[in-house]
Order: sequence, then structure tokens, then C-alpha cells
Amino acid sequence: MMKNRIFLLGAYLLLLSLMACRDESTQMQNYAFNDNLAFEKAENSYAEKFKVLWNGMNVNYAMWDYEQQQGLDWDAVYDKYLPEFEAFDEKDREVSDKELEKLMEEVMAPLHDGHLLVCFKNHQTGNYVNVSPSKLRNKSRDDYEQSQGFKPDLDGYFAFGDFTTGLEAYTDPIMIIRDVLNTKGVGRQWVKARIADLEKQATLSSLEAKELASLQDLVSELLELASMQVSKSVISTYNKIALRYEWLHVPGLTAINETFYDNGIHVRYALSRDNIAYFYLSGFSLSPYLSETYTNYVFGKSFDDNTKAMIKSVCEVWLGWFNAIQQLHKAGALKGIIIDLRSNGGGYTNDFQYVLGSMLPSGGFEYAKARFKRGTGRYDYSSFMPQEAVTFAGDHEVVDDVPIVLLVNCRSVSMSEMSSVCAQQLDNGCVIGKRTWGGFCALTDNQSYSNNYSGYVGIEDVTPVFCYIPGEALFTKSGQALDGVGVTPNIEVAFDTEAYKTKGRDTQLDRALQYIREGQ
Amino acid sequence: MRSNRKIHSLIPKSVFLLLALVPMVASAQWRIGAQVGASCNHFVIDKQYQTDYQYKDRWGMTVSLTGQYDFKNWLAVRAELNWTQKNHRQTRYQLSQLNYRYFNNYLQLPVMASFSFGGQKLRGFCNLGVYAGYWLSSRREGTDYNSFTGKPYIIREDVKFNSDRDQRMDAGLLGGLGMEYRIARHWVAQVEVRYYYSTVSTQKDYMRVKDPRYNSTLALQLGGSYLF
Repeated sequence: MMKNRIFLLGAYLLLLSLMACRDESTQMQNYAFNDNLAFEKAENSYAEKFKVLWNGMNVNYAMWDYEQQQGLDWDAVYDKYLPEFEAFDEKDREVSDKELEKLMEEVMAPLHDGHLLVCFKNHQTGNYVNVSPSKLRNKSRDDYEQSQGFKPDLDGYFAFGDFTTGLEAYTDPIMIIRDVLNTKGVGRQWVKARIADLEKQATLSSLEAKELASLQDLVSELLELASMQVSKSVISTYNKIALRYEWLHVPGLTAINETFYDNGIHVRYALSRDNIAYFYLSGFSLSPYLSETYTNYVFGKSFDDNTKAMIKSVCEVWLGWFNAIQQLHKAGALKGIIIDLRSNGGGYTNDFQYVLGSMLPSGGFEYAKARFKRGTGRYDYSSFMPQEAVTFAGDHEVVDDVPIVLLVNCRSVSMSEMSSVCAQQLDNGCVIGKRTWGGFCALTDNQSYSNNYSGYVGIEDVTPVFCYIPGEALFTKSGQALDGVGVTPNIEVAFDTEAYKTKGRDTQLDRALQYIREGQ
Repeated sequence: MRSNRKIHSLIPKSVFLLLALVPMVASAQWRIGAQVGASCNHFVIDKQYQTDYQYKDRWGMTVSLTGQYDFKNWLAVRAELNWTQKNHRQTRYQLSQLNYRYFNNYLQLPVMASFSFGGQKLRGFCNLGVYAGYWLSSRREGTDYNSFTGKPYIIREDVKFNSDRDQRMDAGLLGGLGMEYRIARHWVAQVEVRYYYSTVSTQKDYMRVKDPRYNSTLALQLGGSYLF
């Protein structure tokens, strides 16, 4: 009897314990796509926008252990800032874009990833408010302002004979439109000259009268275009003008393929009198020009003659530089190479093979270690895996016996920093200029989100919250994080704006030339 | 940083219950022994929306040193010190290159009441009790995939514990069924199927989002004891 009671008691206790033992998990939402249910509450609530941001970052970001080491408590951020966003939701509370931006900056400022961008749609104003923690961090850098929109100018170097050969091309639509508006002999300047010619005539034929009237309308429309803020809509407005006035045959006034807005590039090749091969690229967007696969993907399989000509012009510049290196190195006459990545914001990882990778052995170059999200937990990461850059596969010279110098500044980001890290691993590599931005991790597109279940929150300009988050965390081979820090140049040189204005000298380029010529 | 408090509440209550049986000593007998066997672990995790992740059961090993005090011929209290592996596998349905085999080593102290029935030579028994454990080490082997380079890589590494996240202490309930055969006056052989039900998550409440994970482990073990 006693035996049975004890047995039953034990079984009963076990059963009770089983029923109440394990915690349940919080249900998590996937914010990668434009999911109505996921974003519904965030459409009209600042607090809900913040929750989407917090939860989306919590699951997708791959650098939480690093952020924790830097002192960030992401849970404390939630506790502190949710009430402030809730206060924005109070009835009759007006929230300006500036106020929203300020609060978002406080939330995001401690984060280190150099690509991270957060966009909230202010439902009261209809505007998107964007915050970048790396921009906040780098604003205080001494070359932040100077490096904005920086483009190297070699005209003085050609004038004085430092450089003797060169090619240049650009497909950046904004640069082309500026040429159409300001360059003598084309576009608006040509139109004004033609108007002046027609107005001098005593009598005009009916066609000439029509031409004059249209030219005057065109000048007005071009003036209006010049006052527009730079955006993709400038290109579509310009193209409408070009189409409408096509019959006037205005030199330079040709429609531009809008794809160039995201894939435009400015490239320049120059060869010095002592065979230093210089190459400048405004962004790592060479692949759509040099790779048939990328050309088809970006531009489609058939395109107009003007697009064809623009693609060809970029190829010619790159080939000029590449072929010069091959010929000179083979002949033992190459003195050195300069790759100018100043204010280059990055781009396609595939581009590496056309730039620094065109001087390295085929088969790839391991330059860092990568880690990916592997679950919904904040610290669910993969093992570290090698991160390799693609090197040129075709027959080419391996340049390991003459200096290769990379020029960088505060706005050298992403692929520019990846190239800098690679260069610093070469015996003949050297990075000159100012410390880079600090955006080393790589990104992918939304379609690739489920490769690692990380990368994005929302869709840009569509969902009320959008976060641009890297799909992987990258560290140097020694385990150092460069995000929020940047690559420190081997030789630090500031760009002397005064010397540039008064003497046309680029102090950073001069130092690179000196390093190659003198070896120090 | 938050910590799981279930460890502290469950064990004292259960041990008290077992100690309450002590006054019933009539004919007492000590026995010590050892067991060895295989463990099959089931890792319990909420995959959320990442539905193509798969967490598969894996086999491991278990080795125990046992001590038992028989109060009566049908009732005993048993304690063990064992090393048990609670392994699992992580794969993805869409990305076959991702295949991690986790080896998780635990040191456990199960304490249980053992109820037995049957004859002198051959007896059946049922064990009910609790255990406390400590997560000694972890290792993972397999392959993973770098989606940027498009290459798979072979992985073989010790897993470093994250003090913010990982709960090294373990505890839970156990139940087992087995058979015992008296092979000599002082020797018995045993075979047992035992189930460990962890009630402590392998992760602390380290973030405001709750993400508990548990091990449920089936052990098939055989061994012997010496009766004093």
C-alpha cells in the first residue's frame, strides 16, 4: 500500500513539473520584404517604427559582439528610447523631420558599421528621414568637407609634363548634364550662340522662326533643369527635353540611359614621363562595362547607340591603363602604379579583378575573414571563413616588383577599403592619404536576403522603415574590425587645398609620385 | 544581463522529497557501479521564420559512475556522476553546403528514486528524479558557405562560450526504465533507457526578446554494480 502511494506521488510530481517547465519564445517577424502585416502599425506610429528598427537590427546585424565590446547595450537602447518615440505618437503632437532625425541620430550614433543607413518615413510630413551612424562619426574628421565630391584634377600635371599620355571618360549622367549646360560649343551654350545668330538676321524664314522660338523655349527649360536638385528625376526631365528638341540637332543634347544613374562612372588613365601608370575611378562600377554578364544584367541585351558609345568609352580608358602596364612591365620599364580611390564610395566586389586584382596572380586573393548570421539569436554566427577577392583570370603580368600605391581619403569606402587592406598585405603595396571611412563589411541585394537571413529591413522608399544592413561581418585576417575605424594609411598626407588652388598641385598625388620615385 | 532562476527553484524541492524517504530504512544495502551507453539528443529551438533551417538529432556517448542505497528491496535512492554528450546537427534545406555537427559535452549529477519489482534474479526498475549539469565544452565540425565568394569551407573548431548568452548550468527531470539481472551474489548487470528533460535553457535571458533553447536527451546505457 505504502509502496503504491509513493510510486503514484513520484509520478504525479513528475507530471506537474513537465507541464510548467519550459519558457516560450517571443514571436519574431521577418522585416526583409514589403510585408503589409509586418509594417502596418509602423505606417502611422513612431513607436512602431522604432520597434521595427530595433527588432530588425537585433536579428539581422552581424556585429553585436563587437558593439558590446565597444560598450553598447542594445536592450538598454530599447528601454531608453521607446518612451521617447511613444511621446511622438501623442495626440496632436507635431513632429518635424528635424526632430525625428535628431532622435534617430541618438539611437544610431553608437553603431559602428560603415554602411548602415536607417530611413524612417515621417508620416506627418510624408518625407523620408535618413540617418547614417558613420556619417555622424566622420563629420568631425578634418578632411570630411574637403573630400565631399572630390575629383582629382590632372590638368596641371599634363600642362607641366608630369603626365604625357592619358584618356578620360565619364558616364555619370549628372556630369554629362552639367557639360550640356556649361560647356562651350555644346548644349545650352551652343543654343545661346545659335539664338544670337538668328536674332542678328534681318528676316527669318518660317522654319528659322520656328527654330528660334523653339531654341528660346529650350534655353528656358535648360535653365529650369539647372536649378533642380540632383536626383534621378533630373535625368528623366533632361531626357524629355532631349527628345522634345531632338529635331534641333543641338550638339551634346542626347538622351541618357537612366541606368547610368546607378552605374555611372568617371575614369581617368594617365602615364607619367617615367612610366608611372595612374588610374582613377570614381566608383567600383567597372563590371557593367567590362563584363558581358554584368552588361547584360545591368543594361539589358540590347541598347541604343549612345549607351553603346558610353560603355565603349569607359572600356577604352581601362584598356589604355591595363595594356600600358602589361607592355611596360613585360619590357621591364614600368616604374610604378597609382590607383586613385579618393572619394570612391565602393561598388561591385567583382570590380577588384579589374583594378588591384589585375596585378595579382589569378585564382583569388584572401584578404579578410567573414562571418554570417546563422539564426535569429543576436549572437548566432557562422564560423569565420576566408574572404577572397576575385583576381584577373586572363593572361596578365603579375606586378610584384614595382610599387603599387593606393590613394585614399575620408570618403574612400567599402571596396576602396577592401582594396587598401589587400594592398597593405602586398610587399610592394602602399596606401597614401588620409584614414578611410570605416565601411569594410559587404552588402548584397534584397533578393539574396535568404542566403543568410540577413541584410535588409524593408524596401527603400516603399516601407515606412528601411535599414541598409551588411549581409556579412568582415574582419581583417588578424581579427581587427575596421568598421567605424577605417584603414590607416602607410603614409598619412593631407590634401592641401591652398596648394591646389594656387599652384594646381595635389599634395597626396605628389607624395605618391615621390614614394614611387624615391622609395620612401 | 539576466539569468535563468529555474535551476535554483527545482533542485532543492526535489532533493527534499527524496530525503524524506530516508526514515523508511529497514534493510539497507549499498551498491556502486559504472555504466556506459549512447545518448540521442533532440535540440529544441524556435526557428521562427527561418523555416529552412533544420536541427537534427544526433547520437553521442554517456559514461557514468553510480552509487545506490537500497532502503528496501523495492525502493532505493541513486546518484550518479556522468559525462553525457548532447549533440545536434544544424543544416539548411535550401543551402546544402551548410552542415554543422555540434558536439556538446556535459557533466551531470542525476539523483533519483529507484522503484524496482520482480524476482530475486531478474528485476525491472523505474527511476524518477532530477539532475544538475554543467556544460563543459562544445565543438563544431562540418561545412559552411560564404555567399559572397560562392565557396564552401570545411569547419573544425572549438566553440567559444559567450558569457553574455550561454547558460553553462543545466538541470531538469529524468525518468528511466530498465532491467537488472543478478549474475552473482555481489554483482548485478543493468540495462536502462533513460530520458533527460532539460528545464534550463542553453541560453540566458540575455536580450529582451525571449529565445530559449533546450536539450531533450535519450540515453541507452548498460553497466553493472557491486553490492556490499
